[in-house]
Amino acid sequence: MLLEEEKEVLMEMGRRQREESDQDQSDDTLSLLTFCLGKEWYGVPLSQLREITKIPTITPVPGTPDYILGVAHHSGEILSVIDIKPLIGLDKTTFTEKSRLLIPRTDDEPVGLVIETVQDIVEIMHEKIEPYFLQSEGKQKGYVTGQIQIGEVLLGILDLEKLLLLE
Amino acid sequence: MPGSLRDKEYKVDILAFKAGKACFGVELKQILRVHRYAPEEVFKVRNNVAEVITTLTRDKVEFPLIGFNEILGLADQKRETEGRATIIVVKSDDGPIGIIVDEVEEFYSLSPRELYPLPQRIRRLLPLTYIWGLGLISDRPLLLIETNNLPGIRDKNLINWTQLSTKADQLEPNLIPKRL
Repeated sequence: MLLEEEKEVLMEMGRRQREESDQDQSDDTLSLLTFCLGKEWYGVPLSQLREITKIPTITPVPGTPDYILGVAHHSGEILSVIDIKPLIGLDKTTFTEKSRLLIPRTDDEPVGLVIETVQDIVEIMHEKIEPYFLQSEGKQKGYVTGQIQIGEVLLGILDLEKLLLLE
Repeated sequence: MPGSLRDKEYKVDILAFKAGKACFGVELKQILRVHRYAPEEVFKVRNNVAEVITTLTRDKVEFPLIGFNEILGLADQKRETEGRATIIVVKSDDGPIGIIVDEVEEFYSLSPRELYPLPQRIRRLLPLTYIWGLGLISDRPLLLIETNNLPGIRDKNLINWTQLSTKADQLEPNLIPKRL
């Protein structure tokens, strides 16, 4: 039978081992929310996101560029709602059942990014991330920090902070 | 109790209306009247920009009439049933101006907690500060407009006021939209 002291020591050892295990996982792997923009697949690190939510009522603001969809109210704050697709030179988003609003973590004013079709959350190994090159033109996009091959899909990893600098 | 008194004191009364796909709100203090007009009540005044400026003959007064959708580049103006459209006559520094809108919704009293500033990200993209804030109605933000700063009234100088005889004080305020 274990003494109280021994139990405490075991509990402490277990806690430390779990922490180390979590640490190993976050060091080696990256969780990505994946989605399609046009014909290309992208992923956003979950660590960059504060929330993923359904598309709220959006009030358009006349006189703004086409990538600004308008303003929306969510959880007591006003969001500027941005369509990512025109921001990177694609046609405007078509809303579907799978469309979602990504709310990035930011110290700036809150913003909501509309994603046409959210696909999945995948966990990837850091070591498998390669530098990103747009194959057709052979040049890099600043808002894509890397790429990874998952099966037949080549996934670009987006940096939302850099993406918003395109405004 | 003090809270509710405070709310009562600081409420902002607005009239909500639709234009294009957007919803707007204009402060009641800025409105002189709201009514429907038929095309035969409107005629053009010489030397004014043809597609924007017309005047209204009802009540023997004249004032410029502008298409809200047109000046903001919204979708084509939706004409109401029976060929009539809705106008909101607002005060401006130069005199009363009629704004053609798609549809007048309702009057709302907004408390300070239902008022938000327009996000800076959007404000800096607008050439004019015609939106002074946002009013929240059942989770839907309304764009609260300052009629003096509307494009076309302030920046384009489209209105030739010398051709018009009506001054702001000649129009009796009529906030109840009897003619709607």
